[in-house]
Amino acid sequence: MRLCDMPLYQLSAMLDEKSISAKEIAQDVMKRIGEANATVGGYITILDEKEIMESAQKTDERIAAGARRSKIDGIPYALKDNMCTKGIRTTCSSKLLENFVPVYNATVYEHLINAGGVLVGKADMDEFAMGSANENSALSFTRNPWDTKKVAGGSSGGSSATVASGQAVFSLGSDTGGSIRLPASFCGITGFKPTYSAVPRYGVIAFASSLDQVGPLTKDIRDTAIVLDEIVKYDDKDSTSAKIATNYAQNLNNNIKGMRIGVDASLVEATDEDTKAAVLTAIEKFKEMGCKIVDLSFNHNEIMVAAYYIISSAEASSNLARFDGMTYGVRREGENVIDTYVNTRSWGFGPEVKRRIMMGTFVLSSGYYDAYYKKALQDRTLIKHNFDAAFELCDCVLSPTTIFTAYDAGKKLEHPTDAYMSDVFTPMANIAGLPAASIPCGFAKNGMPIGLQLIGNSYQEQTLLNMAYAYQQETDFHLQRPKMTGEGEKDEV
Amino acid sequence: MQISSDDVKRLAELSRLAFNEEEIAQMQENLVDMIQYADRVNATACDMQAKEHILPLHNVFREDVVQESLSNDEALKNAPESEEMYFKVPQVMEDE
Amino acid sequence: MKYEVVIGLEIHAELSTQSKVFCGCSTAFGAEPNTNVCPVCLGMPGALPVLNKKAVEYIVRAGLALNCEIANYSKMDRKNYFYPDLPKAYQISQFDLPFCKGGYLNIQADGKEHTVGITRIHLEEDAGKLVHTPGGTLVDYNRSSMPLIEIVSEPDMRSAKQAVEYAKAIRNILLFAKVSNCKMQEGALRFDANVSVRPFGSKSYGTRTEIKNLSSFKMLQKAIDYEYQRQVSMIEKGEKIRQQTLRWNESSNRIIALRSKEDAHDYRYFPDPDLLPVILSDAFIEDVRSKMPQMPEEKKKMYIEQFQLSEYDAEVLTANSELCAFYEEVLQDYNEPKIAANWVNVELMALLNQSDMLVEELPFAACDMAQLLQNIQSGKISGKMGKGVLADMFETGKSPEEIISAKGLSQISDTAELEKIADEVLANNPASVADYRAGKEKAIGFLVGQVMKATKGAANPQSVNEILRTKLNE
Ligand SMILES: [Mg+2]
Ligand SMILES: [Zn+2]
Repeated sequence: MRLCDMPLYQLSAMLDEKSISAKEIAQDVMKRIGEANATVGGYITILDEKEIMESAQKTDERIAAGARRSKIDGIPYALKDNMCTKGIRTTCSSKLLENFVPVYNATVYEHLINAGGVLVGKADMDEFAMGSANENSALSFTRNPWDTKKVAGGSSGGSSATVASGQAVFSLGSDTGGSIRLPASFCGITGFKPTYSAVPRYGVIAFASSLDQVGPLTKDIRDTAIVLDEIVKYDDKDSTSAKIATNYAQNLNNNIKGMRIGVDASLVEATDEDTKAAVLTAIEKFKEMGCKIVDLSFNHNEIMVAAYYIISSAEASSNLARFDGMTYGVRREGENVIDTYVNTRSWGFGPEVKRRIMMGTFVLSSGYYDAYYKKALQDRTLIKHNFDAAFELCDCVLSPTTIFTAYDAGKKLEHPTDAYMSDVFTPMANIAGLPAASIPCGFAKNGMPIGLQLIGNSYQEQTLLNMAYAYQQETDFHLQRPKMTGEGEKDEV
Repeated sequence: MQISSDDVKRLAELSRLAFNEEEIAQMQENLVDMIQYADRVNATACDMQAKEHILPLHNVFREDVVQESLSNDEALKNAPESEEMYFKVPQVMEDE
Repeated sequence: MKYEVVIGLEIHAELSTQSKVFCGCSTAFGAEPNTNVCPVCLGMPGALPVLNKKAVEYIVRAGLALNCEIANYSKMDRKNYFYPDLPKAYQISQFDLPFCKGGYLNIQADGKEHTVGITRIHLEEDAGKLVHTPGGTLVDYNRSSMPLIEIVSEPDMRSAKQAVEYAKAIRNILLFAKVSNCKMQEGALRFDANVSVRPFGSKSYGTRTEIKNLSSFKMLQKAIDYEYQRQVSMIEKGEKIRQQTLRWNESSNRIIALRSKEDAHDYRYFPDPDLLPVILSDAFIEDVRSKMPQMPEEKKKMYIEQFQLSEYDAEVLTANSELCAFYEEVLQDYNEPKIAANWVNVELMALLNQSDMLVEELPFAACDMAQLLQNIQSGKISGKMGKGVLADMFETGKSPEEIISAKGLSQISDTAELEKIADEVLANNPASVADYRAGKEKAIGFLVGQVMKATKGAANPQSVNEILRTKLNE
């Protein structure tokens, strides 16, 4: 197996053993980018090769001096392009921010710099993280490495596709309603959305502030634990940041005997045949490992998705108001200030972003606030209560990640809400602020990966990691790699 | 819930967006769809008090300590237009 | 028909914190444009606000000083609108759960005491500053995210005079509470006036207009007077008053309507998801109360009871926080409260009034005034000379020592020299000496006057008197 296809934990061990160098890893990742960038895509900005190699060189010097900083020291990674990187343009895949070069770093990026990670580039995404197929990018394109005619999922499509195709060893994405888990599921990798407040949001360009959470996309749950250890940290620049002590990688274990898994059968029933079969098989696997299945009924699911769209659109309409061409970004001049605002925003935002802004403006506008926004907050409180009750009965909740596997790119949806309906399993974790993972659990008949979602109680990241770890010890779905164009060989596992 | 094209125009004005007639019709249709979907929130007879935050946190403060600001160059680095040490914006009428 | 004006005020006061309300940038006035700015107060993508604890303490203090109820639970909201001075295109403010509610303030105006109700006080951030030039508008965001409190009154004022007195009283309270420096020339205190008129005796309110951003007491007075006249003449012409936002134009001395489009604002307030609720315990509120600086009422009581000042003196001193602070500073170096009060209230005030100046504009410090009073106390100069020295200090800003020595004003307190002069005077005026010795007490006055004349007034009359008596009784 090529270095670029190996999981982080393996590469890290090899670096410690000095059997490879960080430069060799970086070189192989760069080579893969050259091979995959035209077909899979996934990046908006790729750093200069010289810069990347210098960064790897520094790791090699540290290793030689016996001072490797962390398990990700020397590991090439990608950042979703909504995380501010000082001196490196940060676009949110929007025409409006095409030329925006932050003068400050997102706290998560600071953490990865301090840990010695090697930033390769800024990953493609749906514009302002709005979308579930990565087809709303104004600046780049991303396709599914398993079949480049198909979508990678979104909104962290670039973060997902680059990892799945070996263009990065791991990446950070952000998840507002499933934007890490959905593309992870479509691309056959592991995606993890931590508990709201676990990972600092400072410097991460907001979509919906009360739902957004940054998390890792990796090839193995062990990698996830390693990355989480570096980014789950209290930040005094983020009022919604929590103080949590973590040691996920160290505490990882596969003893999940007696764990109670909550399953709402109706959610499994709602999926396509292949997904349903894979998820049912996974449930059996967990039973074999000594877990108990607890029946749950999430009869609030439809309310939940509606509440999600109201809250996320409302917050987005306000968060995106600052993109007005006054102090940064692209300006489209008009006759006066008001015309300039209108010209800039009408030109700069894509249709999906405009829809959400309009929807958000509507639910907050006078006369509708109580009926929509306030009601959504009430429902949100109710859903949180229901989850609290569910976690009395079980240790985690299992469901499919998506209703169906990755679909053909360019498919036109009749109604925008059809897209919303397709990702109905993921927003509940955001609405209730809970940690959730998507892990590979099989392949559809057409060869596309299927994802399994695990949701845990607040701050119970370790439980989810252990569940996924135990599962990955028993299965090999996460070990499969897509065949990359330009390669003659089928990767051995 | 009915949304008229005037409603769409009013929302567009508040959002500082402009649409041509065709786009307005499209947006009107989209909004009707979305609002119909959003109406599901009213499906529950939930009289639970709406909490602004699901986080059990409160009183997050910073101490009143001055920290380093950006330099003027950094502040203006991304400005579409600047003059001297100022951001420059299109003429705003003081008394319009 | 006679019309009555109904006024409510919204007063914005900048809090005297060191750093801004949601970021660590300095609040110092007068910095070069766009140098006290950071990603947070520039509204840059991804930046997040964190609430300044001192600002919360200050608004609670202001609330207590204005007899408000302090909320145990409050939250910050977003007020959404586009304007180039507002970099996030929303202002963080408070909507339905402000920190303070339901206070009042008593004021003296039109010869009577009035109570003005205070609806609420909320915390918010300031916007940047626009500079209009022919070529375009320039923006300085140094002021962006400065901490402001907005004090909203009930429509309880019935004359421009009352409104001005109320505004002055608020300023005085904020200064005493040490929550704002209230420097009007720096924009630290600004008023929005809600004005309506109605026939005298009417119980219902007329349609009100809002005059925004008045930055001095004079402007407040002029704008209300103007608006009252305007509304009355419209009603008399049978026209309808339109609810709208107005701006006072200082150069043309008239009111200008803002575009009506601006009035159609729908601010879409909602709780700011980036900021968490503030829960103030009773213990916290009590703590703020216990650390409250002395308020005017309290000080007045202390002045009367401990310093034995007259009711009038105590009232004058506490009605003006700068004067009061100056007075207390004088006392630090000159511990004669009654004498000091007299000098501050009478002599100093007379000078200030003559030249229409404020205490904070005095060219000398309180310790100089204390020095002057010490010189009088010790007999180095006479009280009458002291007044002259004070006038000189006022004029030149020089220290009393400097003035006294430069003008050779020092009283002759050298007894030997005085005795010599006294002997000469006695020798030259035998008739008066004889009169005195014959029992004509008054004759001593003439003799004292002769000594004073000989010393060009530099002698202490008290001492001269004593010396002469001793000699005459010998
Ligand atoms: Mg205000
Ligand atoms: Zn700042």
